[in-house]
Amino acid sequence: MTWWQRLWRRDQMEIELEKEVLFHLDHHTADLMARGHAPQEARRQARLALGGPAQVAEECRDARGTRWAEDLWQDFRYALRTLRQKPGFTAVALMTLALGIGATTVMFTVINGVLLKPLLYTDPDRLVQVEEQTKGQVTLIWGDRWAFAYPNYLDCKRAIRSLSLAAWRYNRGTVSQPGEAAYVEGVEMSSELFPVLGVAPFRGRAFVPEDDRPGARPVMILGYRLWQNHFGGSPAVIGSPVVFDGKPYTVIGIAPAALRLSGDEIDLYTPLGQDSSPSMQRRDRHFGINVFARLRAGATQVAAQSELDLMGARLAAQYPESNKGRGFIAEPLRPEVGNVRSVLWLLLGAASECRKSGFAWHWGPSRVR
Amino acid sequence: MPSKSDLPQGTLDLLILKVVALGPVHGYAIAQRLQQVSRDVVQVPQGSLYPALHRLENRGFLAANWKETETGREAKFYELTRKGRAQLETEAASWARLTEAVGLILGIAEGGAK
Repeated sequence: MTWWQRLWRRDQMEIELEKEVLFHLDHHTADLMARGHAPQEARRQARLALGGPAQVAEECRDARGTRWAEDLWQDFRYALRTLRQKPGFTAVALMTLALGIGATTVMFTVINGVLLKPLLYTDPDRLVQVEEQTKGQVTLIWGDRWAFAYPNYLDCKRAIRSLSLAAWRYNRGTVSQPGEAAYVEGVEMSSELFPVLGVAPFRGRAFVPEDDRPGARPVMILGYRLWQNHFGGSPAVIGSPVVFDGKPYTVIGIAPAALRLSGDEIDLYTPLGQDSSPSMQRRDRHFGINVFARLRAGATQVAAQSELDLMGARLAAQYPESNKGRGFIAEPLRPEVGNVRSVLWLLLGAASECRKSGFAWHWGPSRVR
Repeated sequence: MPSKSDLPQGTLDLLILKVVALGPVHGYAIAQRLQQVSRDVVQVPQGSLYPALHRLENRGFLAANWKETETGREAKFYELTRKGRAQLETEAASWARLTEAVGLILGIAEGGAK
C-alpha cells in the first residue's frame, strides 16, 4: 500500500487499529483471568502492560507515515472553518492579499524590464514592436494582439517605408553535439534583426539575406552564455558543426553577452527563412512570429502607424479569407518610463509591504489556537 | 525468579520478523511467543510492539490479513513478505556477526587474565 492509499483509507485504518488493540486487550485479560485474577484487576493489568491503548494507537498512526498529510488537512479545515465564521474579515484579508500580490507583480515586471535588465540596443527609443490586431478573436491574456503570419510579415517588410522590420520566433530545442546534450533557448530570426536592433556579433558575422531563405546552408549564431558554458568560450567553435534538434549547423558567429529579445538570454540563433514548416507559408496562422522594427530616419511613429493601417486594409481586401478584420499595430518596444528609478523602487517596497501585511492578517490570528 | 532484561535497541524488529517467519500470527500471539520462547527473560515492550508491526508493514516486510481465530473472533494476522524474508536474513546475519565479535572480545579478556 502506498502512503496515499493509506491516507485514502484513513477511516478504515482507524477502525482496524482500534479492533486490533481491543483484540490484544481482551486476550490478555482472558489469560490473566485464567491465572486467577479478578476480571477488573485483569483488565487493569492488561491495559498497564500495553502502556495505554490511546498512546499505542497514536504511535501506530505515526508509524503509518501519513501523519503530515493528515495534520495538514486538519489545519486546512480549521482555517476554512475560521474564515467562514468571519466573512467580513475573510473578504478584507483576501482583498488585501490579492491587491498586494497584483501590485507586487506589476511593479516587479516593470522594474525587471526597466531597471534590472535594460535592453542593450542602440537608440532603443526608435524601436517599436509590431503586432497583428484582430477583430473578434480576443483572448483573456493577450486581448486582440497576435503574433504575425510570415507572409504578412514579408508583405509589410517590402511595403512599409517608415520602418525597417525584423522578425524572430522562439525555437527551443536540444543541442546534441558536441559535448553533452543540452536543452536550450533557441530563436529563429530574420537577417534584419541584428541591424534593426543595432547590435553587432561579438565574434564572427551576423546573418545576411542569403542565409535567410529556404535551402540555404544551415548556419547558426551562438549566444554568449551558451558559448561560454558549453563551448568553453573557444574562438575555434566558429566554422565548426553543431547539431541542433538533429540537424547539423555551421557556427558563423557569437552574439554579444546578455543579448535578450524578451525574457531570458538567447542561447542560439538560426535563420528564420530556412524554417520549412508548412505553417510558415500560411497567412491564416499566427506562427509565433514577433516583429521588431526601427523607425527610419525622419519617420515618426504616427506615420508608421498610418502606413501599417493602409497595409492592413490592403491585405484584408486582397486576402479576405485570412486577413479580414486583421490589422497591424506598432508600439514602443521599451515602455516609456522617463527618470523614475527611485519612484519605482519605492512603489515596489510599498507593494510588497502591503502583501506582507495581507499574509500577516490572514495567518496571524488563525494560527493561534 | 531472575529479573527481566530490556531488549537491546533495534532488536525488536528482528525478533518480530523471526516469529512471523514461522507462520501467520496476530499481535497478541507474537507478544506471547516472544515471552515464552525467551523463557520470560526478555521483557517484550507491548507498547512498542504494535507501532513496530505497523512500521514493518508500511516498509513492505510484513503483509497483514484479517482472519478468524480459533475462538471465532476476527484478528489481524501478519505474515512475512519476500522482502521481509530477505530483511530477516540480513538482520539475523548481522546480529550473529555482532554477538560473535562480542563473544570473541570477552574471550580475549578472560585469556589475558590467566
